[in-house]
Amino acid sequence: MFAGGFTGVILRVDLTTRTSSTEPMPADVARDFIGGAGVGIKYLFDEVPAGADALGPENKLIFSSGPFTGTTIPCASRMAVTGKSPLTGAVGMALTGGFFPAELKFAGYDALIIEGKAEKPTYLWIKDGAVQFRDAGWLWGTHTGDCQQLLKDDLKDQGIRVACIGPAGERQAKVACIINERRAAGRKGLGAVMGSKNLKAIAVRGSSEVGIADEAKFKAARSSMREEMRQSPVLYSAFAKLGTPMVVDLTGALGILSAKNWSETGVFVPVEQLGAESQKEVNIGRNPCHNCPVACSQIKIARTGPYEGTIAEGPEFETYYSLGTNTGVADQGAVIAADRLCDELGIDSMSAGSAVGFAMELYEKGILDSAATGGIDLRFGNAEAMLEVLRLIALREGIGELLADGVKAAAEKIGDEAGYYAMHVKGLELPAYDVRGAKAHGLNYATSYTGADHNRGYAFQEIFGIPVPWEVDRFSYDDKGKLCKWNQDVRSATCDCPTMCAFLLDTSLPATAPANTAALMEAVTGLVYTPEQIVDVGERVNNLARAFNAREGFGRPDDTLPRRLMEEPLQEGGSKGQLIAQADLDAMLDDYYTARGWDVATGKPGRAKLESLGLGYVADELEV
Amino acid sequence: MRVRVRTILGLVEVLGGREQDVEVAAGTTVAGLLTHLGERCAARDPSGVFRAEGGGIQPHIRVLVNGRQPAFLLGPETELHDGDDVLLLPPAAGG
Repeated sequence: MFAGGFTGVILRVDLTTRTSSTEPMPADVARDFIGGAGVGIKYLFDEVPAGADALGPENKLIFSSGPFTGTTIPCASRMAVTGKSPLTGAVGMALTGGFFPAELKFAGYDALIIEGKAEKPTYLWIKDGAVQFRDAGWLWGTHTGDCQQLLKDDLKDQGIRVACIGPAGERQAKVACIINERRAAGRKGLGAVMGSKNLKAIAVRGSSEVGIADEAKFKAARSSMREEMRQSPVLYSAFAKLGTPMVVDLTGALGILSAKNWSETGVFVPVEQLGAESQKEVNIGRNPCHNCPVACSQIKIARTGPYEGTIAEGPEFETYYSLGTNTGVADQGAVIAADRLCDELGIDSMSAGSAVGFAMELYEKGILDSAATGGIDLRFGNAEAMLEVLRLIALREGIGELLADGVKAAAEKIGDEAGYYAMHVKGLELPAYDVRGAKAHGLNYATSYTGADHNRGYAFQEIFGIPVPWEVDRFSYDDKGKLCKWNQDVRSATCDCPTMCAFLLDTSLPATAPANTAALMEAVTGLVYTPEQIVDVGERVNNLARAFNAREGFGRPDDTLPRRLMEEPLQEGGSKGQLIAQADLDAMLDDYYTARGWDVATGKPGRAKLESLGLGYVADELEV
Repeated sequence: MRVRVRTILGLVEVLGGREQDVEVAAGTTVAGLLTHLGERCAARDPSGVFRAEGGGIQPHIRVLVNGRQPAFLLGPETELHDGDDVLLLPPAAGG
């Protein structure tokens, strides 16, 4: 059916009835949504009804790789996991790399759709065309590292790949993630969805190869891409050596490295303790994803202090924020230990770290007292307290029960005053970048279909100064709506759907990603696109995701930022004096909705826009 | 007058520190500061971050004045003022 790239097969698993079936990947879905996030959101919109309980059997969990996954295209290791997010109630979509995604492809599947709920703890064992439902009672309670190893031992094959949840997912903590190897589909609480289905793990082993439609074109397109990677001024010369933690230094200098629950951005800037230079002492190796020549992911060891000897893959930049600057912990060993703990317990280090920072600020302000913390001295900078609270979050014990569902839910339980300090959009905790000093990045936090998600529309123009599609002033509001749309659509079309590591977009392909994707799509799958048609895929995905959220009741009032960012100017640092006032956010939103062709008053996609993207049935569903 | 010059990553070695105050004549422009820094840092700049002839800096190095790129001020001829914050940023990625 497909000349290459796609296996052409979707595996559907019903945990309630313990049955599985296969169905063809529809040609129009492949053409219009490519794969990854696009395919995941397509099935989410079509199959999960409005108002579904995100932790009920009616929610689905869709694992979807892209046509590039499993090929020899560099850095195309990835897979989307999609479901309705229990943390936000909106689209939950998170991408992961490593080796599980390629293995699922080798087993013969473009996507795996998990439905229903198992009666008791279960794991899936997928070996090529065979699917088995197996008892996971003996695995229940295990950490993610142990779970993966136990399955490999039990199945007597060290080459299998496993995606699993830890104790946090089992308890349906809404900050729970899904771990494969040491990678994570980290955000939006998809680990809780897996836990709600009593699905502890998915083990997969495949023996097939991914076909290529035109070998000659493939080699030419891949060579062209490799050359662009070699020409990058940063990819191999710096990024491959330093990894994402180099952004600690960059954002610190720009004055946008958020600190102490966003109360001390530009004031507390521990670059020397957590930045690139400090990595040299702790890095002991690198661990590339499938077929990645860059290998940015680093293995680190705590060298001194109470955590000496603890090894983690990471922390990445975002974790140096969430478990470092955001909690006031300027200690490499503690952040490495906390990162490892999050991976083992299966919690998103970003949301969990944000929750700890939030609780620390409330504790220092007297809004939470020691009775609420169970006697834990939860002041900023207390590394031991941070680690203990992370453990409690995963186990839903003590103050962890309060924080396990994220800062929005916690603030609602505590009361009005706490809401001001809950740093989230649509329930998803904020990433590291203090967007008071990067306006398009902030607009993306406000409008991303998953909540405050830097990865859905990263404004590399503002953060890295890359002048594509045009040079921007990070403090200006001019045309930031148009820029945000461009970033969201290009990112979706060239990274989230095919699937491709987003770091390549920033480092090597900012100007050529749509053309690169088009060339690779033709070579790999035989499907011909213009670069503009590739970007159209991203627009289609963003509109469909927006429609899902609109059907759930989200609209313009939800496209906002925490009040702190709109009322408190940054006190110090490279973005001193900056904020995003409500009026400026409103103006950016007007520009954004206009650029998107959405109703400016409601933020809803209209019929004309949806029909132009081939989504007329979505307009019918929304009754617009 | 005195301006604060800050940098990160590999440029720290070239500049001789993460941040420093630099004395320049009143009316010095961004281009003038870069020339001055190039001369001052020549011994630590074997790869030629600062261009030996004609002043300036390699094109992939970002220069910000008080957080803004000079392109949104008056370009290389942007005049500096006492107390200005000048940030020199080598390429970075990730996050």
